[in-house]
Amino acid sequence: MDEKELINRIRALKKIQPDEAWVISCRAQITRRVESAGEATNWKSRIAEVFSFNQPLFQPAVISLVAFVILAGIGGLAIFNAQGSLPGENAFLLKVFAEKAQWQYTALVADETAQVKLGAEMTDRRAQELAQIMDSSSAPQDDQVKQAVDQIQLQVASAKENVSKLKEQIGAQNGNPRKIAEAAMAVRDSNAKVKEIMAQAQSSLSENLSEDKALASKISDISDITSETNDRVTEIIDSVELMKGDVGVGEQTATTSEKAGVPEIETTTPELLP
Amino acid sequence: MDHQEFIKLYDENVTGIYRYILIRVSSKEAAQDLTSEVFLRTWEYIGQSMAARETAVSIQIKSPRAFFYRVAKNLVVDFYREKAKAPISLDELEVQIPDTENNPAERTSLALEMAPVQRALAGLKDDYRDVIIWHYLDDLSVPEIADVLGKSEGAVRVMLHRGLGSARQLIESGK
Repeated sequence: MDEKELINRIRALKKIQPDEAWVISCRAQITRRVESAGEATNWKSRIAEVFSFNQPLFQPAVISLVAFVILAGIGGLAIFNAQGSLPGENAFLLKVFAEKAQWQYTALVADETAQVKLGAEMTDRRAQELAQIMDSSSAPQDDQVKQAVDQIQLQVASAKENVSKLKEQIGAQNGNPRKIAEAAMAVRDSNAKVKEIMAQAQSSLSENLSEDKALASKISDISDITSETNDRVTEIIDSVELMKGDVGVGEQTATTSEKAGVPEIETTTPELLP
Repeated sequence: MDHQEFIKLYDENVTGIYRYILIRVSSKEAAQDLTSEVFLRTWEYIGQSMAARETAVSIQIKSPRAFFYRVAKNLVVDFYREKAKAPISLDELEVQIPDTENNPAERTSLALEMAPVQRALAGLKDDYRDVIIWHYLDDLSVPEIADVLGKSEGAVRVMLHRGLGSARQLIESGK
């Protein structure tokens, strides 16, 4: 092997890239730190950091334990009361924490499609929260709008990763194709809501926010990510349709056996049993 | 350096820093933690430097990219020191497959293609491995690498030449 070939093979390692969802969440974490530097200690930002998805606090074993302690200590009432909270409000962190606990619980007890559907619901909620902030009778706080957009960005990035995993399942012929397609469509529907609400929000941003380049960049990111995710959803649905055409998708029938060239096995009728 | 400049530097460098750390520590989770730590520590350093000067003077780091890699290299060293791990053996090396490839056949093909190179890199001396990754993967120039390592440009060129020679031997011998 000559040096040029070796260098080309080394350069092929450039294909190794970080997870997009992680890059975005890491960026959000660093942005929070950078923007709060030099100001008076912002206890809300510090707590937001603690509860950010990057922290070890959100490892499954820890979250299950902590969720149990919190729910047992504070009680379901506090969690229930937090449900109506919006980004920027104190109770919002509790709401996100409870959602994350639900997410982890779903991962333990249900299949991946259930988790993806839950993720789509969470995306819906984030979009609705932004809509509520913008529709509020009092002028929306810039900070609240930024936090709401941050949360949407994290959620759509997570959804994109989820849809990629669904696509892998279809490619490897794992799982139930119908459930996979339903989960993918749930993500597409939630992305459509995000797009609609982001467009409305953009048209009524404050003057400060309209000129905020970082915010504009995040909004553009969200648009790109949702478009890419929707493309992958379309590919999943097309694959499922193709599979329906070849074999009875999700159907365990004798017809399937016939098509596969396997002799049909007759079921024993009750009269023949001793 | 203001906030937006720093975030822009993050956008420009996060992939290279992550990839370098991942190849060094061979664990996705550790690579993610260490990569975010690189940028957070750099920002803290900038903040402390500004506070020390007591005026809002923008901090001019000679080469921000070289600075990030210097911090990254130190964090990798600390990682192994704290974990009391020996440098990862070739048998333990987890070959990193790009996540962008969803097709299992493609992923297998890529794994077969990339494994010998990754194993060869893992078998090199730390400095040789670092300069090869920085120069050929992350497109750092020789002067930038010299800045990271605190060595002369001539020394960096020698390390690159020797590193490539060693890597080629390792690949050809099939180790």
